[in-house]
Amino acid sequence: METSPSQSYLNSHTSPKWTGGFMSWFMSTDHKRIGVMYAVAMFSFFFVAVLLGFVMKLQKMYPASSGWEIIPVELYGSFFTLHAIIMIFLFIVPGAPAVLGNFFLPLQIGAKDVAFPRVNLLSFWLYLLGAIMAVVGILLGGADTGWTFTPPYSINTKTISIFGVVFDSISWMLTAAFILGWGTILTGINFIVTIHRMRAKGMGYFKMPLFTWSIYATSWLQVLATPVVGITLLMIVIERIMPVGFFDPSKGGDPILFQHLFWIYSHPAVYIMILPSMGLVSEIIPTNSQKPIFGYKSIAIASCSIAGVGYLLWAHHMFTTGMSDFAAILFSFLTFFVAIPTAIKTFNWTATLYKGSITLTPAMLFALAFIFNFSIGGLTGMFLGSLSTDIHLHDTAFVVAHFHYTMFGGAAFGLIGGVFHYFPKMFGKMYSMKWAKAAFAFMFIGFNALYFPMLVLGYYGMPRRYHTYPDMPIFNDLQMASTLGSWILVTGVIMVFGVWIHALIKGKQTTEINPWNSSTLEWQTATPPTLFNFEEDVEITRDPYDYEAFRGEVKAGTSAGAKNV
Amino acid sequence: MNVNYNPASVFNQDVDFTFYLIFIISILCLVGITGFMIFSVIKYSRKNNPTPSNLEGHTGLEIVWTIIPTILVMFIFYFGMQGFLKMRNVPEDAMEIKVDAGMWWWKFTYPNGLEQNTAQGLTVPADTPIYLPLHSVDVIHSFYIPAFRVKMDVVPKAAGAKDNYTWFEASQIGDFDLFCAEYCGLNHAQMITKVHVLTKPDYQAWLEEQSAGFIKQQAENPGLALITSKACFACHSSDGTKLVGPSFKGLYGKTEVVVTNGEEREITVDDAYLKTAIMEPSKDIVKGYQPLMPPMPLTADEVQAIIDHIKELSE
Repeated sequence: METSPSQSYLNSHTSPKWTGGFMSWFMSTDHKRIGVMYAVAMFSFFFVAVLLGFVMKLQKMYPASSGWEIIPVELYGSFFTLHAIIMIFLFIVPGAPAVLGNFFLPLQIGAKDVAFPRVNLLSFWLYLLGAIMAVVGILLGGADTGWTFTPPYSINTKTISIFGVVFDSISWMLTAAFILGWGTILTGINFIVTIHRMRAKGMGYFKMPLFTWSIYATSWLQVLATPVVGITLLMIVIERIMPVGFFDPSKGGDPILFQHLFWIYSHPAVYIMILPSMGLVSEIIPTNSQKPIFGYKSIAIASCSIAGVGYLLWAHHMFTTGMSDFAAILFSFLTFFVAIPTAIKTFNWTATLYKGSITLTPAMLFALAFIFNFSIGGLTGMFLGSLSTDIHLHDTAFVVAHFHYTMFGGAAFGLIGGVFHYFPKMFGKMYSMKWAKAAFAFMFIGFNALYFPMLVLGYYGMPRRYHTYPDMPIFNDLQMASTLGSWILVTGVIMVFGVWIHALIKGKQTTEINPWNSSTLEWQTATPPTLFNFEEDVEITRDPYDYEAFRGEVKAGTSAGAKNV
Repeated sequence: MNVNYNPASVFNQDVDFTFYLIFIISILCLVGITGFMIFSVIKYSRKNNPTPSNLEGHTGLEIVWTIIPTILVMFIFYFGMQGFLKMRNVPEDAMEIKVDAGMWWWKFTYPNGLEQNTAQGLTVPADTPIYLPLHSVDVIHSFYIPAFRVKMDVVPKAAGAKDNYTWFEASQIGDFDLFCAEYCGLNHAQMITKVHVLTKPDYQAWLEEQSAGFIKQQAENPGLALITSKACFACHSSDGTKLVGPSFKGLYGKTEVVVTNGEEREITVDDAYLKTAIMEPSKDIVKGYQPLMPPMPLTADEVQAIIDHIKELSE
């Protein structure tokens, strides 16, 4: 399959009207361009939120008695709210499906595009609209409700006007989150239909690559869970502007009802965030081990059971709210059942390495770090799923560290690893291996130096969302360690972006179809892919990770392999 | 500052046992997984093992690593539940101390009517179960004593709904931190106080002394007693320090710029102004402050007593 550069998606257009510059991207219905646009927007927001986190860590460097104050307490609340809103709604929820799912889902199943290309573009526009509303809203008015918008605080609180302008930024942000939700739901529907209807000839469900499986499970969660939070957030807006009381106890409402409705979405949402990265790890590890993934079927089924069980656990965020003891016990019991498919996946990835032929590419390093970080994230989850220990650890730094181990050390490390894995295919450019590995080292060390001390802090009772903290040796030392870790981590993040941007501008041009020698379908098309992905209809005859068969095909010349093999 | 993490309450043993059980399981898992990864990356590197096997899975192994975690997590669930049930079942002979929480103060009311504020803290006898009904006057707070392994949200409830509760029995003499653990606005991190655990005889002596003083203050200075009881000092100082709200010192008779419906105007602080400021606090906001104060449900006599005390502080 020889390609001339003019056929690459980077040079061809879905509409004859928009063939150049910004509009050729903004109006494009090509799933690949949409994926790239998401990447640019999401990683930009991500970087802003990283800097907010960096400042918050700086604030915690010294205890209250030292008089150390980097940001005033009025801003601290807005900082952690904006950090979370960006990281959750603008970065990690759209996450890997929006960037790599859009780009590679059709390629992995041998389709020309997603099922509804125009709806796909609409999703992106809704995402941008919601994102701009959220960021502008909080910049104009400030909001310190946290991303959880817990009433009655979120109903009663007057927005703090930073520039002297009175502005209901909380309603504004709730509406933004509602709009973002629409984008997510449409993407979910789009991917489900694509997977149901557009697989290449011969690709049964159990011949789909595992990234596709994880996107499939995620999409169902998006479609079924997002409407609940959308309606719930609108109810808060209604309470803020009209004299009704769904959640405000002074009007006869129940603030705990809100928490139930909120977590009915937001707990499945953590699986929306993590499952796609699990899918990416399931691609990276077999490729760089050159052998089939261990237990393909159990990983695929585990993805779906995580999505299913993940729906039934929401109230484990609420053990200290005073809900009935029976409910607490039931939800704790159910929570432990999500630990099992998660454990199965982890063991399967690790076992894939056995008797492989392993290359430590930057993507592989991130995937292995994913397993390590996510194991800590999952194992610390058991402390929080168990009732008596959760009573002690809930709402402390332990929880903050736990979900950063899963969401950042897990989901974001997986996504960044995925981008390193797919970068040459997406752009036809190669990055510096040396610098990519150095960036990884900074991120991995910095990440653990930042978050591990927070686990210990939480055990010693350090509450979360504190602008400052009492002067105690154990608090002081661990906070200092954590702040120093944040410096290393931010350096690593900047290096990752540096490596990518450098590669895009000055990186070595490559048309190599399959640089990592991967057996899955997305590597069998041109680099970068052409507008309609495949020149001719594709037919699938073997399992996606059958490396022995793949090596046979490469020898016979019917499949693309890396030139150095 | 006290950082004593010896078993300080009757819950520590259960909670810490479960904690260490999970901790040991976690360490074993993590070391196993990480160790195997490092071993494989070296042993099966492309250089050391150029020809990979085509191993696709092993049903036996899958069954093993499904069943073993299931058994382990059921044990963890069981022990976690045991400790939790203990926290939820209050002994019948427990002594009741009412907890009120607001932005950003705590108030503890003893059976004999004695009230303690954030600055004074919660004083309790050792080895005595204490039952704590938790009442919030505004938003959700959370009552958290790390050393006792006790935490429960203080949730504002609709009229007629039952308040949350928790209980503990301190088993060690000393001072322990009491935090608000649920974000409740600007001064969330200042909503900290202490639990003072005394021996039973010391507690009796303390209680008698405090109660006598409390009754005396109520009789002699009802305004100050009300200001203390309503936790006004959480936001308004009596020594001129600027807190969340303006200080009471020198307030009466002062000229202030206030914002009413977005418009600035100058007023002199007198009885009429103070009455509005207490009953309808969001009407006139003193320039430079946030509209944060909740309306205070007080009788006309009570308001007058408070105004009289503010007058006294300004003389």
